[in-house]
Amino acid sequence: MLFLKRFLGLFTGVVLLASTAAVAAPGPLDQARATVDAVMAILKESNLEKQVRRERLSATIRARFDFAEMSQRILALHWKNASDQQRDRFVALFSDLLERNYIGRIESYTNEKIDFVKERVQGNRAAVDTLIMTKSAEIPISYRMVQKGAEWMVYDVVIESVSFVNNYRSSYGEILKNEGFDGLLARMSEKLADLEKNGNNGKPTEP
Amino acid sequence: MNRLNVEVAVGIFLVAGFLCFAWLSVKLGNVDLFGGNEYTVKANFSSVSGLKEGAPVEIAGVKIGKVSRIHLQEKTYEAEVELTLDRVVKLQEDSIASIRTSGIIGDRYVSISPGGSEEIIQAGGSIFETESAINLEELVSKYVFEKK
Repeated sequence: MLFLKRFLGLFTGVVLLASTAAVAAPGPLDQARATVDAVMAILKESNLEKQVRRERLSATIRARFDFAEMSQRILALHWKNASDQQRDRFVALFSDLLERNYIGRIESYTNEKIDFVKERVQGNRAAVDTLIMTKSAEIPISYRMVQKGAEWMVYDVVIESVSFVNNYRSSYGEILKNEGFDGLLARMSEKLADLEKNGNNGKPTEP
Repeated sequence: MNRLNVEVAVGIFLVAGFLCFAWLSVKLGNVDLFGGNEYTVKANFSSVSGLKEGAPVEIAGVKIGKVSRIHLQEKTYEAEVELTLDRVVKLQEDSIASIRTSGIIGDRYVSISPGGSEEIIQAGGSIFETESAINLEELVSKYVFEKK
């Protein structure tokens, strides 16, 4: 009987400890906010060289985005049929394309206010709703995140109710159907080479 | 003897008539009596404006089910939509449910784009990835009239 009591005491202790540990880890909203703050801090450092700044921005943002998960969701059924090599190639190309396309946009940021509205957690996935206040309008952007260990990683961005993943799922799906996986990869690397050659001054183009 | 036969025939005819009537009312009223071939999943949207109960659910334009219930969630003020789907159709957990319009001013329907995950959404489960109804008027006023 005494043993049972001790065991129960120990058990509740462990449970309590575990629950405080769970509370202590920052939630998806806080983690997203931390990344946004870090990006802003880099942008505000005016004495950085362009190349160094790009690298630091890229590192900060890549640490919060899960490009493999994003790619899997974009390719959907085609992901299942692709070889490991094709998958790796796609993830690498896609993340480079995104970076090329959007880093200029981020650099042209001029003090717009970002409001973190709310988070909604369901199992190991979460949606973090934000509002960007520009001079002309408020743009609602929702980040979809998945829990990987203690980290919440972004795998989809929903702007004005339009899902990034769903958009690419249909446009890449079309290419995949017509030209196959290698055709898509060829097109993507072509596009990337094109962007690198011409330089891209902040204007996103269709990858 | 002969009279008995006539009565039996009339009886059978009457029972058959009733059965036909019952079948017709079930069919016309869209009542699902047996429900063996369907299952329901839920999805939350921040707006379902224009979507009606009974609206079709489509994958690649093929009807695979219908919207069986729409109601407001008390805590979050989001719309919870119950979809009744054909049991043959399995949805991966990264499927995306979007509310779309057929044509420019047509009726709203739910379009599902299938994902590639190994996990399948079970009956009674929910679709996490959703795209809400886009309110065209709101968007137009936002990006045209608010521009300074």
